[in-house]
Amino acid sequence: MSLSWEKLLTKGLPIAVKVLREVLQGLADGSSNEEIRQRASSPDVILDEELDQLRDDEEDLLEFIRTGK
Amino acid sequence: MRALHLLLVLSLTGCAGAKLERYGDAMVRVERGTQGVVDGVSATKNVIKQDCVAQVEAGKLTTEAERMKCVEGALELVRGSKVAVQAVKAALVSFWTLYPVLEAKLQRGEKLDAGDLAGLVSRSDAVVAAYQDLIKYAKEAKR
Repeated sequence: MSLSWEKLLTKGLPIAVKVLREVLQGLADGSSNEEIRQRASSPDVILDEELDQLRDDEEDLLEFIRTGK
Repeated sequence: MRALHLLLVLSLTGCAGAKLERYGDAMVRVERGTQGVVDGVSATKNVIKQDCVAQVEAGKLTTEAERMKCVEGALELVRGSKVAVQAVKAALVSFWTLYPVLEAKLQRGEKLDAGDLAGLVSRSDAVVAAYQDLIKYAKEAKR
């Protein structure tokens, strides 16, 4: 069976270009990629600030219960 | 011919790479959503506490037990949210630990096998499930 270069170029190439465009569009979104890089390199600190915030909130309520302030 | 081959290989690699990145984007969004929920919990706690402080200033809630009763809803909300956020964190850490492994594989030109994809899906599903639990808890508690 001979390869139909015409089919490959008219059908395959536009699909390949479309996918490449989507990939490049994703790469152009700098902030999202930077955030992904940060998380992939230091996953252990994810949501630590939020957990600290909730611990502070808990402590604040316990302080109110103790002192009324 | 060589250029076309390279283009097709790149596009196939890009397919898996773009898919992996979409998972990464989704996880970043879940994290941002979690931050939003925590801010909402803190705001709710502040409103409840302010009301209770006002009662103290009006001469009420003179005992610890009374003050505890006044803020117990807020305390429960904060404590329960803390547990739920810890679960989201654990799930996210698991996802982001796998992510660079798969990314490196793609960058070497290797394909992701069924095990890789299953790991990616199960870890992202775990993140979503933990996040849904957090949302559900926060909604119930605020009621």
